Amino acid sequence: MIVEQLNSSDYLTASLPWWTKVQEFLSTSDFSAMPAGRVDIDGDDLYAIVADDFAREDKCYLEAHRRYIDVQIACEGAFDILWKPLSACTNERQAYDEEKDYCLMNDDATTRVSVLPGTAVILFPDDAHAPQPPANNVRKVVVKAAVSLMPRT
Amino acid sequence: MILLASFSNELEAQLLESQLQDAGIDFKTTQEGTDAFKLMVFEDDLDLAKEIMAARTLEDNDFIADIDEPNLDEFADDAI
Repeated sequence: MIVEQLNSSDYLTASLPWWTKVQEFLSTSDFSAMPAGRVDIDGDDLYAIVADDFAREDKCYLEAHRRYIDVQIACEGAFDILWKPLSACTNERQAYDEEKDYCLMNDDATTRVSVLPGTAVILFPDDAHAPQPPANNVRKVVVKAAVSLMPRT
Repeated sequence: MILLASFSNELEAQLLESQLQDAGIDFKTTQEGTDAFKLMVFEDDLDLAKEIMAARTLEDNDFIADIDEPNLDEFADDAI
């Protein structure tokens, strides 16, 4: 997991080949006027989901993906993300579904991160994460970047 | 997961649940208080889930539009 300020993301540009496109998308989009839904940045390889979420009494379980990296951003409002390394998770709730690209875990998280406007939280396949319901209404953007866009090591 | 819809009526929530299930969309329902049913879906399924909701609304409207206005003249008293 990487937590980074959007206005000082030179390290992300240097390390993530697709980050420049994300930056351009974020800087040229008016999220307050955009309808909720999917917006393609580079087809299925790189796209964003604009979503509104509302305060509620609920707890979301840890999830992890294999085909996509998530970038979680709050446009208006804030929300928390719970995190635990996937390798440390031992209590599977739902096995990995290839088509839906996620698995769910019952494990308790070890870390809580608050996502405020101007902050990006980048979650890799190693990161079991659970975006939580906000305390107040939030407009968020989730960028999905295909793992195949990452340089091979 | 994010909020897709809230219902005050459990049956309405169950109807949407079955439609989401048929479409292969995972969801979670919570109940807050005695009459607030909230359906959550994963962000990636939001567009499809909304389409299903919109189609349902259209079907409801179509159903209402299909009901012909009753012709009350048919029941008029012939003697008048």
